[in-house]
Amino acid sequence: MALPYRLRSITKPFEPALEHLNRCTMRFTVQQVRNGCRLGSLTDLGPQPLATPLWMMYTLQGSAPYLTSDVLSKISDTPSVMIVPNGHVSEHYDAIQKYNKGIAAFASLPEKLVFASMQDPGVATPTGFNTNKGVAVWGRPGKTEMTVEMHTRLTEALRPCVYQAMFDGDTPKDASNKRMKKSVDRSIQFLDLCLEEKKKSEVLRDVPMFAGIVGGYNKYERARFAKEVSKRDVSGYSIEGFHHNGSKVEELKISEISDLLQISLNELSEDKPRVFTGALPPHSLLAAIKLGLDIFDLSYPYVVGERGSALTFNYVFDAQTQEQELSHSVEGEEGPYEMCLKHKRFARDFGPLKQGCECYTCVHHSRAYVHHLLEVSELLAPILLTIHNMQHYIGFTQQIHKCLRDDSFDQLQMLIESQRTLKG
Amino acid sequence: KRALKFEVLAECSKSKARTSKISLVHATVDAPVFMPVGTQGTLKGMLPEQLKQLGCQIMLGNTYHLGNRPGPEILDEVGGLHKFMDWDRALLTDSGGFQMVSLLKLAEITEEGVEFEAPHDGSKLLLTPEKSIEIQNAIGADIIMQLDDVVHTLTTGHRVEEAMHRTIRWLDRCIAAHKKPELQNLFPIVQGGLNPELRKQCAQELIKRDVNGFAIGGLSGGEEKSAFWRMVSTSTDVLPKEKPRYLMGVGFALDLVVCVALGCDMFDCVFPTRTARFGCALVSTGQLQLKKTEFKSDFRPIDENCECSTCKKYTRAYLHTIAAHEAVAASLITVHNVCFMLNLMKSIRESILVDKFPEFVQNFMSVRFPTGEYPSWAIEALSSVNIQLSPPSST
Ligand SMILES: [Zn+2]
Ligand SMILES: [Zn+2]
Repeated sequence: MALPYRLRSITKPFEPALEHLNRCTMRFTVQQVRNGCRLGSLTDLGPQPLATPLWMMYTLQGSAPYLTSDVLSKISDTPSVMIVPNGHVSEHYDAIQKYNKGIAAFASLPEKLVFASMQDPGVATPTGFNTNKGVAVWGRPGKTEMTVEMHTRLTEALRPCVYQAMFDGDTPKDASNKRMKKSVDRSIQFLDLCLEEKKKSEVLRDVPMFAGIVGGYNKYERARFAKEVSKRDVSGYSIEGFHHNGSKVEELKISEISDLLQISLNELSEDKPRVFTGALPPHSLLAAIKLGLDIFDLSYPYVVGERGSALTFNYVFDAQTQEQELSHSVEGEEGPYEMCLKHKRFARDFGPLKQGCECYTCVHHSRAYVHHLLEVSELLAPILLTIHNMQHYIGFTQQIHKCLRDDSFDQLQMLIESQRTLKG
Repeated sequence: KRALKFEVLAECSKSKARTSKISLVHATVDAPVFMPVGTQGTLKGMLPEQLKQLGCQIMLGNTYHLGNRPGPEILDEVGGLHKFMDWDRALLTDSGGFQMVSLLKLAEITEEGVEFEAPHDGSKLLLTPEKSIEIQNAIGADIIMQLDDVVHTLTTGHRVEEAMHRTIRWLDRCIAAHKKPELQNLFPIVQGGLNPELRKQCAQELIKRDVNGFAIGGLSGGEEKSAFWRMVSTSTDVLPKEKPRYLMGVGFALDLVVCVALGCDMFDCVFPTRTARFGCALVSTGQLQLKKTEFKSDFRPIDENCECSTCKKYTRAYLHTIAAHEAVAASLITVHNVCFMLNLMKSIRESILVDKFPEFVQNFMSVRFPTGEYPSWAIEALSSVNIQLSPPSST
């Protein structure tokens, strides 16, 4: 279903209701670079400065997956920024625009800042649908072909604190050079049009726009695109064209993209934030931080929960718990960092999802109960899993910050690596 | 200590309505009460804590489903359903018989029990009164139900009478098999189809047993409403005033208001939670189908006067964008619908306390039927207990 044609005729300027949404003059400072990892700070985006590495809350149609805002509040330290993919909300443009306070307030999360993204990091993006006119984005009704103008109108309605310029990042690993060249040509064109629209837009004029950095798996195209971007006025970069979102991202080898990424980064300004969205498992996430990437999202715990699994990996330096958690055998498609509660072995296991976890789920409910809920396909199963997985992953991100500050990042990497190889 | 204490706080001076306190092992329940149905040990997308916040004191579990999964052994091992699902207030379970007959087409009833084919492997299984109580003892609900011989409401003739007598025989087997009478209350079920004589006879037989409360079963299965209310009223006329009366499977707001007037204290129904999944919100005027385009840019809450967490934060317009698509919509609308039902019961109780129940009924009907076209069965039923409805304009 396409966006309603009405979009084109809307010219009425906005009267922003929330002040901070209108004064998004972001500043980014890198405070420390150690071993490639960057510690930084984003200021003037929201009421508080945001420390990087930063994680954005993953959302479905503006809500945390499965969680009402009430239940979401049971998770401590949820990210201040939420990622809202265009495809989820384009169908409801009219209502969001009319509401006039942005998607966060519309979805009852008024305190969250919005990062408006082109694609959904938690779900595989179908490939082969982009054209010279627009980019295919995906939501409940299926495909919407987003033109630059629609993109601008929708972004205005969403009231993001940061948004992605339109880009064509549809470059699978085996894509032809021609396809990669096309992705770059189109993305330059889209970027220029987005810059033009931004200048014209009352609402977006002061909202930082990040360029999607494309070029696929082609060194030449990566360099060509990044050079073009460096000549233009954008506030940050979103590294694109390496994957197609969804659970496949778990298999992405950061080592295989690091040289290509470096080619992009070489051409770009060092003092601008770099976003890398997608369901990165712990070892990939740490590797990505080491490559100097700054902003990520929480689609990984979502993807893990979707297969009925609870995250159980250890990120705390405590040999004892580590051993205990690693002792069980791996079954089926269970990844190395999780246990799949669909397995029969949990039917009589009345312990918490993870020993020592203080999340709402683990305090109140058992593995056996979640196993039962999964068996009978009850809605409470993904709710309880989401609470635990989000809380666990947030704990991991806090540990990353701690390790970056006290110089124990390599140790953390080793701890994660040992669990990956032991079970994987 | 008794497993149930029943205290009538006030009676309506016109109708058979009363408000009471039912003290159970896990909670004291204010009646008339609506009990939401948590079939499989969970209430559709709600945390037990959210249910408590809404003031819910008792909920239902279904023996047939829980007996299958997780099964009585696991429930026994963990110490019952309360612990398994982290619900520390009261629970009620059905006998499993009704679901067996309605879900499994091949179920066959003999004097021994309900014989059926296992859904997974087709092997023959038998649910006897003893087995039903054994499973319900393992689940550990505060109120458990006897296995009854369920016949379709529209059945007539000898089969109805046979089922009524068998229900009484099975009750005695259930009482004999019940192992935890100090913790769990076994309720008999009044059967007798749509035959007032059989209903009366059944109720008269049941009240000879030493039990703490009674249920009225076999109704709400598509029968004429005029027959339905008469069966309810016939049953409550026989059932003793000093024990709670549970009308099984009834939970549409109108039915509930009328049946309170006819002297029922407890109700359950899957409707408020089931309908939430399809984007339907309950309001005093009826229902809102939130998927409808009319709500597209309606920035009001479902109900401006509702105190639930959904109405405090979410607009109809947002719910419209996620209704029946996004899982979170089911949770949000379920919260509201349960709140709506609990509030309705609260208003009923408060009106009875100050002997203003007839006024409550009149007001309820005026809001729901603003044109004054009250269903005739409701007019009749209410009139039978001295509540005469006036047209909405005159109130
Ligand atoms: Zn946990
Ligand atoms: Zn409400």
